[in-house]
Parts: sequence; structure tokens; C-alpha cells
Amino acid sequence: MTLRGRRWTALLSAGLLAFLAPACRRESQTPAAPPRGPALVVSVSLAEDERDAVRELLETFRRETGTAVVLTSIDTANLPDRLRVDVGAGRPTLDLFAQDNLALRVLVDERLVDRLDDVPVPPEVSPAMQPPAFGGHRYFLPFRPNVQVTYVNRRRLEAAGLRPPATVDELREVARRFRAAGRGLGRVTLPLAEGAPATATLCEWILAFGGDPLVLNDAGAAAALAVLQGFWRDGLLARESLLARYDTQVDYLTAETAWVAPNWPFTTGVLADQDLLDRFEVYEGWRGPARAAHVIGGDVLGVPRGLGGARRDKAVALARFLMSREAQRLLAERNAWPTIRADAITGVPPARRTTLAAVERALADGWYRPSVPYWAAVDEALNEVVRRVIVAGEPAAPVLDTLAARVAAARRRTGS
Amino acid sequence: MNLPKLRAIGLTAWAVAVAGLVLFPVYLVLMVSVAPGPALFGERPALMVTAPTLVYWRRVLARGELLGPMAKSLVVATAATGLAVALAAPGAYAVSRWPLRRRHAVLVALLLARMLPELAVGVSLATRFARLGLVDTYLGVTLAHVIGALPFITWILVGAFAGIPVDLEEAAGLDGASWLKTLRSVILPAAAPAVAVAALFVWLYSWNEFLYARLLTTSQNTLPLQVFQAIDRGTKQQMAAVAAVLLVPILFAVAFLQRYLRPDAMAGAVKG
Repeated sequence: MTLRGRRWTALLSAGLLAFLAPACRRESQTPAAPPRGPALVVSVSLAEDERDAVRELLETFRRETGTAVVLTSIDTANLPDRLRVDVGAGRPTLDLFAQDNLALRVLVDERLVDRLDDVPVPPEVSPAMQPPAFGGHRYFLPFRPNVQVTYVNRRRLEAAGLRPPATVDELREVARRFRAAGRGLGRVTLPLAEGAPATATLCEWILAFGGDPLVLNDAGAAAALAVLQGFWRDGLLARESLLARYDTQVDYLTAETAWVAPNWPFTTGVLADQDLLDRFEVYEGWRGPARAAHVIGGDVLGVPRGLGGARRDKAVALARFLMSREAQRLLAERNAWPTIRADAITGVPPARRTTLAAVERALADGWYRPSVPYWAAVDEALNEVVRRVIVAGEPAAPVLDTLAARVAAARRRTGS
Repeated sequence: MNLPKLRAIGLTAWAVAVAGLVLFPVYLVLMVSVAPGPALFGERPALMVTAPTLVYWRRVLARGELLGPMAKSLVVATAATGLAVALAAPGAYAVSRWPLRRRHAVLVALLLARMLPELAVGVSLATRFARLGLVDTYLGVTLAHVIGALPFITWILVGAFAGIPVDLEEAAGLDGASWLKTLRSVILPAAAPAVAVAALFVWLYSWNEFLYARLLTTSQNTLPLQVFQAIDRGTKQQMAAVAAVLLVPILFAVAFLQRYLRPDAMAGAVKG
């Protein structure tokens, strides 16, 4: 055999050996394989600096119950696909998951999640923090309430001699001054990216103007849309708003594309990690003529469908532990997460106090998205409103009438 | 200055410009991974870091977010490469000796397989793998990557084998070589550049693949999943640090395989 031939043989042998050796076993980092061993696998989507506290909590659970827990992070967008695979195969690999409260409908509609009617929610959990029921059944348990707060570039604000806008009128003035100071570019980014961000933002604006997102063509919605359309037409909103969502908003803030940007509070941790937090004012945001409104997001707990017997019992035990005073207190203390329980409020790290205070003020004006079966039609309509009314500048009233009729038809179809 | 000298200078400048363009993103990734937060803040952050920091690298290393994912990615990519080439080469060789029309039909069919949306195929394939207990195993991700890469590398190899003159095989046969020996000692060495390209393609595809890894992984991420996690909820620096690690083995793989990428491989193979 030639030298080159030997090289090829060596390469192929090494490759096959490398393949066969580990292929025959499961991951080494897993304390025990989920279907066979006693370990539970829980998925929680976390920022880097939030991970340690959750790990500590799971270690406490292991000490108390003898059940080890593997922590994994499957993000909101990918979790449904993952559950489709597991449930479709009849072999769940996740025992418990935390999922974005605004992305639950698909899990129920596709029967990917188990009913939890038999699991009591502790009485100390505020009724306002209870996740929505679907068809009269409980599928999810409360875990981490959350709302968007607003981040403002402190230096730009001071240079303009302004204070964080507390009303829509003040927001217009800030946006106008920022545009003038910012080379004629809009410096306010509203999360209007297609999908959940646009839906949440429009819900907040419509509610703030006294409208109802489920009705869509009432006076409040028309007034809110007229204002947003004007903001867009006058260049007061950054064009990046159409791409603004939880991850891009952080980039817009640090790149100074956005000088005012609502976003989820994990942003505080990311900014603190980069020594940038002191460059931003963090507050609850502005109120409309009717009220302040903040869509309640955050994560709720669910158990994948098909998990039975002892595994389900253990998953439920872990869910109950995560709702306990001890767990909620530690998460509030270490991660500055708002808590579902009134008896778990505690001190938080100094860098997080401002954010937590803003979150709590925003939660006071919180709005849980209703779990109506025709929500998909509402969601679709609100996204169409962004494209047609805000961006394309079509007159709001006829568009809202058309879309409201579509939502009403969906409501009738679902018998609501 | 005479014309040849001018041309040489122009070509060198062109080569430097192209190299700069290609290497600039690599530089950016490395630069961001050692940049303190304030250095990246603002509309036009400097392209040079004057006070680099290793704090984000230390953080990534201390949290054990690199070694496990890197080991998994290395094993899976190498195994997928070996298996895919071992499976594709004999099949491609057989197809390359078919009549032109049949060969074209097979090549078009192979490309059709790649035209389906990956997500639609991915969820269905992963469900079947899950039924077989292949979720969270190296074998599951490796097989998924082999399935994803096979059509394209077979397509590459069919073209390469078809370009090798049949006379070579006949000459080997006249010298008493069996079919297998001819394939191993004559055809494969002659097609080494194409095999190297195919191997490089599979290795890079597997090394960077996200969808199947996401659907088939629970407890131990591959490196692309780790990068995504950093993009999703982490800092730019942490994302850049993990991405920089993604680059290093690629450089080694390319350095190793590039020796087989010879344009003169077939020169002088057949006389007259």
C-alpha cells in the first residue's frame, strides 16, 4: 500500500473509530439517560447570568428529593418543534419545560402538553399571576412573570435636556428631539418584528388608548393606530423597529441605533455583563391617554404529553418546588426576577434594583393575553395592521373594519 | 515601470484585497471576543481594541461551555465525514459508469432531495430517530448529518469518477487487479481531490449544522447550538468567543485536506 493509501486508511479508520466509540453510548454529561435513569430533564431559556441561580435551585431539589435534574435551554421558537419530535415518537426526552407565556396556544392546539388540572397552585400565588386556562383546563403552572420595561440612552437624554417619556405625548417630543440630534434618523425602536413582538406592542398601545385588541375596530384602537401611523410617517420610529425583538433590541441599544427601546428585563443582565448598565435609564415606560398597559409575558411551566407514571410525578414535584416560596425567593434574590408569590419578595442585587422596581410598576398595569381559541386570528390581524396601517400608511378605519370582521368570523367559527 | 511588473503589482494588490475581505469577519470575531463592553458601545466602535480583556473567554471556559460542545462537534463531524464518504464513494463510482441519460436522472433525483425544505424533513426524520431512541446520542446526530450530506457529495463524486478514463480501469484489469483493488488503488487515488472536496464539504456541513442538532439534542450542545444560545440571550463577546473556537478546527481540517486538492491530479494518467 502506498503512503497516500495508508493515510487514507488511517483517516477513515480514525473517523469510524471516533464514530463507533461514542456513538454506542449516551452523553457523558447527562447524569443518567432520561428514559432509563432517575434524572429529570428540564428546559428553561435563560440568560447567561441567570443560569447559576437556577442550577443552584435544581441542586437543592436533588438534595431534598434524591432526583437529579439536567438543565437544558431550548428557546421559545424551537421548543414546539422539539416537542413535536418527542410526542410524535412517544418518547419524551424533556420532563418539564418553561415556555414563553405568549407562545402557549400552539402547544395546546397540537396536543403537545399534558393537562395539569390535578396539580394545585399554591394559594400564596397571586390570582393575577395564574397562566390562562385553555378550554377550561389547566395546562400550565405559574413560574416567572415578566413584562417589558424601557431602556433609554442616558447620555443622549441628558444632552437633549429631557427626562424619560412618561406619556405618549412626551414620547413624541423625545422622539422628535432625538431624530433632530440623530442625523434625521428615528431613534425610538418599538418591537414590531413579525409575530409575537408586533402583537404584544400593538396590544399595549390599543389598551393604552382605551381599546380592546380582540375587538380591533373600536375608537381606542383607531386612535392608537393613528398615533403610531403618524410616528412612522414622520420618521420618529427607527426603521429597525420592524426587526426589533428581544435579541435585536439589545444590539440596537448597545450600537446606539436605538436611544429608546422597550425590551424584556434580561437586557439588564446583558448590559451589566458588559459594564454598560450605567449608560441607561431603566423604567416602566409610557402610558396612553386611557391607562398604562403592559402585556404580561414571562415563562410558565408545562409537562410534555406522554410522560407517565413516576416520571410525571417527579416532573410535577419539580414544578411544585419551582413554585415554592424557597425557590421563588432565591430567583428573586439572585436573578432579580419578579415573583409569583407575595410571600417571596426579598432583597435583590443593587445593580438590578432599578430594573426590578420598573418591572413591578409595570406589572401593576399588567395584562394577561386572553386564552381565546381564535387568538391566532387576532395575532394575524395585528401583524397585518403593522404592515398595512403603520408601514404602508393605509387609512386605519377601513383596514381595522376588515380585520375586525375576520376576527369576528373566527370567533363565531370557534363558538366563542 | 514595465507592463509585467505593473501587472504583478496589480495582481498582488488584488490578492491582498480579496484576502482582506475574506479574513475581515474572522478578525472581527476575534476582536469582539476580547473587547471590553464600552469598546463596542456606540454607533461607530473602533476597529481596534486598545485594552483587550480575556474576561469573556474565562467566563465561557469556567462555565464549561466549550470543551463538551467542541468534543461533541469534533466527533460527530469526523464520524459523519468518514461514514458519508465511505457510503457515497462506491455508489457514486457505480453511477458514474452508467449511460449518460441514466446518470443524469440519478443526479437530478439527488438534487431534488436537497430541494425539500430542511425543517419539514428535519422534524419528520427526528421523530423517527426519537422512536429508535437516538435522541441525545452521538449516533443520532451523526446519522442525521450523513443523510443531509449524502446527496450533494454523491453528486460531486459522480462527476469526479465520470472524468476518470475507463482506460485506467482496463489497464489495471489487464495487470490482474480485481474490481475492488482497482477501485481502491487506481480510481480512488485518481479521484483524491474530489474525495477531499467531498470530505471537506461534509465536515464543514456537520461542524456548522444547527437544525438536526437542535432537534436531536437535549443535554449536551454542539458548538453551533452553543453559539446560538449566546446570540439568543448572551453578550456579543461571549458569542464571539464561542464562534472563534468554531473556527480553529476548521483551519486544521482545511490544512489537512488541502494537500489532496491538486489541480494536476489527472495529468499524465493516460498516454497517447
